[in-house]
Amino acid sequence: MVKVVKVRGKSMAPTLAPGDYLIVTKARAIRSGFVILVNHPKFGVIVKRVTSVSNRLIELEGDGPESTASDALGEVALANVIGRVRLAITPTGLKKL
Amino acid sequence: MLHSLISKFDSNIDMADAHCDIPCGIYDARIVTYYAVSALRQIDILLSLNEKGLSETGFAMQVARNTAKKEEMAEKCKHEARIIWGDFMKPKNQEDMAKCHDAAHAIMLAGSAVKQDLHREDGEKLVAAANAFAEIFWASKGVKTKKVKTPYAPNIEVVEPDL
Repeated sequence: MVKVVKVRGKSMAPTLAPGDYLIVTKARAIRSGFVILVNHPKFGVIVKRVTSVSNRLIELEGDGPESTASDALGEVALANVIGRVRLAITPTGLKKL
Repeated sequence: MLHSLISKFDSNIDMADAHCDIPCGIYDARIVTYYAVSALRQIDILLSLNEKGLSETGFAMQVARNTAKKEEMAEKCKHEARIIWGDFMKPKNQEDMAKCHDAAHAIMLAGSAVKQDLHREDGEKLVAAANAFAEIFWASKGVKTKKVKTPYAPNIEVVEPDL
């Protein structure tokens, strides 16, 4: 599965900027540090970085200082992960993640 | 180049939110009318200061304080209207869209007029614009409204949800 999505919001700055396009693929495993696309039960489809994985649950946070706090994001089930962001298509070029 | 090429297909591409704040989903037009009424109240206070027999210094201080508050209330009224207008209002058709935009724009104009000068009619216009905006807001949520007089000065009619 390959999916293309567009970033809305600044919480992943400076890694990702609003308007960047992301190439997302299905991930066999999720590890800390991965940037993922996840269907959050409260916030909908969001892009965040994984900070920890345990017991089929993951914790997330944004790279930017203005990101929604990770305690507000809460833990999300691994089953909600849509995929891993592999590539960002930015106005200035490609960025591998 | 690739970015601009993909952007041509924007309408078919899903969004991925990178939230910067927490959407609470709480929108209420009463806060817009609240600040409009507060701005009008500050105008009334300013217009009545001459009758209070204040010393020159006291008068100057009171004018400064109430003018600052008048401008703050008018700006907050505009701010809250902008949030509801920009984040909540999603008119279903062109006619509703025009009404919604006109009501919000009327608040921007009246709010600026309240800040710029000292005329009671500007304050009344701001309250009227806030009321019109509130009616559109509550109608969009399917909530009936009623007009009630504020039980405090300036005792002006405001639109309230009939909950």
